[in-house]
Amino acid sequence: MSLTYILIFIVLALIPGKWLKGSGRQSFLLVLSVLALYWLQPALPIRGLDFYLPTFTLGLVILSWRLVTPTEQVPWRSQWRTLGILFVIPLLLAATRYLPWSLPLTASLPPPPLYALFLLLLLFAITIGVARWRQGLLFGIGLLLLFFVILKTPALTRLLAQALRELMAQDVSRATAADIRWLGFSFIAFRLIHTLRDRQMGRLPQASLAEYVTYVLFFPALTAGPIDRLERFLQDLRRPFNLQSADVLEASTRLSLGLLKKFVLADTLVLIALNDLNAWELRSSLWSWGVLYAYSWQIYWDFSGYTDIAIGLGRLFGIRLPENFNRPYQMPNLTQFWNNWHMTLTQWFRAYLFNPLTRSLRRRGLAATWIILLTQLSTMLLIGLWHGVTWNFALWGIWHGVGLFVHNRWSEWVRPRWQIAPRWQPWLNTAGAVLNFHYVTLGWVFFALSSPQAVWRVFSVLFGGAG
Amino acid sequence: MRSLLLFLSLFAVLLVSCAGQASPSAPSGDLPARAAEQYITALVEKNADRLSALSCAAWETDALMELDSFQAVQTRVEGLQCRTVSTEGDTSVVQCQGKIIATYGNEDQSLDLSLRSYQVVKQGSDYLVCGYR
Repeated sequence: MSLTYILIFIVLALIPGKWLKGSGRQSFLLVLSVLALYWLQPALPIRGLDFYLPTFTLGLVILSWRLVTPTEQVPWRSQWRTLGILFVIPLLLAATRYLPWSLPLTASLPPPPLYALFLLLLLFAITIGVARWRQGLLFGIGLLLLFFVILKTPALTRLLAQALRELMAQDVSRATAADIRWLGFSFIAFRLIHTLRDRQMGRLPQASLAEYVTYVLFFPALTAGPIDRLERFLQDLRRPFNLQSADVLEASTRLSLGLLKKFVLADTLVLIALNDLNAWELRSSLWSWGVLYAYSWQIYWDFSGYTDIAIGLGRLFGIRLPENFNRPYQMPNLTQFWNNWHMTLTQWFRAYLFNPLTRSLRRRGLAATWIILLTQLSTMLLIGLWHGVTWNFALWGIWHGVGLFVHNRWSEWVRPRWQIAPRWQPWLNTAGAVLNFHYVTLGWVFFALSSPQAVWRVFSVLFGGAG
Repeated sequence: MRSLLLFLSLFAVLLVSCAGQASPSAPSGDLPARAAEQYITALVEKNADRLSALSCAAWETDALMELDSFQAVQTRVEGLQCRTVSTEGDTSVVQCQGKIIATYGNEDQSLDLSLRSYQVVKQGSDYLVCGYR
């Protein structure tokens, strides 16, 4: 999200806060979130794809809502107004292709409205068909996971890009994985899987289509999270909201902090931070550590800055998005680091992978040590692979999985043997934080670089090798 | 109904505000000329993704090579206006007025667009630049 987008959203936030109440505010948020889905999608080299991908997102959200809503509610009749909005927005956007000037609401010239209508009707027909199927929920989760695997595996994404280029009669030889950049798909999929899974478990609150779409596509959290939960989001959305000076003060504080972190600190550090190019030019150990520290703080300020901006914007619209970072680099050990870094992602993985896997392994009577090793390693490996199915992300996940396991075992071993006097605790925490920061920072080497060879070279230079 | 009205007025406001950004452009019905203008704008903005989408398959590599040649300089376009001068089957020839200014340091170099004729091809519902003479 660029500064321009953020400033426009801040101005737009004043409309519902001051003049719209109740359903007017909800409709405003719905319309703005759907428009933002198209508006924030970057231009793509495959013709029309920057319009079709947001439309697919809409289709996926409608499908998921239908799957999480009990059939006996006869949902469509009561949701015609929302459905109308969800159909009309893409059609109106497609119609802008005939305007004599270029409209910045879509990244490039949209396809003709007839194509858009055909796609929308097709997606709607699929929704109706899948909803009748008894295994619909499972199908929904499987479909999202399949998209995840394709989009996160560069070789598969490239194959898809080739197929789409072929379909659009474009140069197939130029296909790359970067041809398909689906705005916000990861965070949208996390929210959808959360609702589908909770519906399977029978613990999902009921939401109207408008509420559900607004929850999944809420634009401040579209590109970088946080991953809110439906039941929490609904509380804020349904509560009457009148923008008060306290809201403005808190929002502006978070926005200022976020802008400072992202656009001043992170964007300055990125000039020297570790990357694929400078990794091969590092000669001195001291400078290498400097470059690595720069990356460590750059990634933190970049990500937590975006979160601050999302929380600040959300506050202006009356939505209190959950916190995502809580001074993670000050934590004395790796377990606490992961409880305070990208918190909503780790909570998601804990709820939908770590805990069910732990319960399943316990039922099989596996020893506690093995359960801890397997669950921590697999959770962190999957978090790594979520960033991309590459060796380096896998190694980064394993680095953290092993670190968490070692910390867990060490804590268990030392607790009954070593009683620490309270006055020493702050010193121990400080030493732990320094040690933990360096473990995490060394882990960033895997994350920042794209090949194991480059990682090996940087590690060699860091520890005094010739490189 | 209220929300629909709200939505339509929001959309109208966006359209009107965007209309203010309209640059001098081809006559509204002249779609090949409009495609050429969008192509030149993408080139000047160094937007490789948009340039790819606006080029035909055979021309995509050349278009991106031309974009690469502008990478080291700052570019802007002045007085851009295109019109179709001839059409034969699905292929149109478009001529443009205006110039691309490439700035390196303090030195401006201008590229007269009227010296070129753009070949624009209709492919499905799209008009794509497929080279120039």
